[in-house]
Amino acid sequence: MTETLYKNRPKYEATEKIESYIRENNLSPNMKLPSERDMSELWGLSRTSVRRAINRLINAGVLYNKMGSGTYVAEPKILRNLQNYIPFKETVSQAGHRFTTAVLSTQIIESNKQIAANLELRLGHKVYALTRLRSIDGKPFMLDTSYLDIERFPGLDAHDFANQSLYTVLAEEYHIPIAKGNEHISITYATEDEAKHLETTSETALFFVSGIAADAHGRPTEYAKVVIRPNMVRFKSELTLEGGGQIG
Amino acid sequence: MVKRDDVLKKSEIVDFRSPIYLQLREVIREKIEEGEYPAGSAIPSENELAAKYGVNRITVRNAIDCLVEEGLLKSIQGKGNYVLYGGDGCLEQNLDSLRGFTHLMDESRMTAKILKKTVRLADEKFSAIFGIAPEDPIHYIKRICCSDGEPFSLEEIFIPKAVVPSLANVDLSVFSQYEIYESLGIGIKRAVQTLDIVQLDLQEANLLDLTDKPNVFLLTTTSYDQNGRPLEFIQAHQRGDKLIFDVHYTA
Repeated sequence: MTETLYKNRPKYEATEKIESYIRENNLSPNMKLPSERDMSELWGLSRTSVRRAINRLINAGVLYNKMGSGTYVAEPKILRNLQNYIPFKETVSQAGHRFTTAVLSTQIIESNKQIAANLELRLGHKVYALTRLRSIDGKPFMLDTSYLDIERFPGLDAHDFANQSLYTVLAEEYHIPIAKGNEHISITYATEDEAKHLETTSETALFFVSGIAADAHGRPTEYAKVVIRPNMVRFKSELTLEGGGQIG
Repeated sequence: MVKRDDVLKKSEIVDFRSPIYLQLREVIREKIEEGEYPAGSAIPSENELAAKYGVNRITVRNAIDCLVEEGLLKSIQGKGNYVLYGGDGCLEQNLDSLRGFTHLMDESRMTAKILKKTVRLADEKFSAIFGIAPEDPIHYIKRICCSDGEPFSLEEIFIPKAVVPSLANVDLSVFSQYEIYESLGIGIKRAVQTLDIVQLDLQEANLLDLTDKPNVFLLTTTSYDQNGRPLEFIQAHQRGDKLIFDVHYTA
């Protein structure tokens, strides 16, 4: 039995060809792609199709353009696994990159409605607010603010969280390890302040993650608001059907 | 009125002395088992069945209710009664737990519009993803998912033809993604999902009722069977103003 197979549209065909070309030729990050004309000849596709494919892949973060010099392979994004909660720092180091933290501000503030609701505190209850900027190989990629009940963690504000991990301090000094959590992920656009810190332009699309981390009894312990540059990070989740178990 | 006891006694012998609705239930069951009513498709309407067998609609309804309760059929309001694969209802529950990034949306209000349903060559990209030859055929489905009639997700689904020989009888506009696999008897054991933010082409953005090169979520899912064989690959571009993903983790 013969059947006529669907022919992929040239723009999509060219996109797939470029992706396969990078893989098959083991092009590393920051290596240059062949010219539009060469690729168009190689695959017998029009230059318009190849150009559209390149644009698609730039928009998807696979390639980037250097003015007047050509098209290059982008750095692979850091994969952040959300099922097995591994600190970002470890994920980044395992991928062979340098992770650094700068503390932008520490304050003790009265909880507003949102903080109070998420930490199950009454309005106006004092919380410690810690804002940190995280970088990969010196490039800022994440800006996060954590809120914690200062009555529950007296002296928390005396720590240097540029060099110490918040969760390690909670576990080792207060004996309250984080056991589980829940996060919401949405899309937001950088404010001027966020754009300045993340070294991007305002209105750039960012991941917005709001999360509640809880102790072993399920009591909300940290409420966090995080913005992340999507050109540097991709979230990942890996699931199996076996007894709700997780893959290491 | 159907008594629950009657319904649950599946092994009980149904003969000409049995109530008509039970006899009709067996007729429909046989047609499902023999493939006359294939998994994923709708069985004839209640009116058609009533006319064909010379019974009233309440009798037809009772017979169908039994099969819905057994998990062999699924009733979809305003659409009809659809054949599910296998059928003890268990798989669906398990597959629910497979969702990593759960979106906070009411699935009962979702509909899908099929833009393309075809078979193409795997070529280099999908031969690498599925571990098949570039000249092997794969199914390609492109659809728009809507909630309350508003588009929120543009999905491209790729399945090797070796995994599912035919999608001819599957109504992809009705079933949620996991119900499709369930209806086809695909045993998904493991899934890997990634979530990105990307910019859409104007052309594709228009399909989602968006303008001006918008940023959208790109949810990519690769599912595997128990032997680690990739069964399907899905790329879903989803509107960030419509969706929030919800993730739970344990330390």
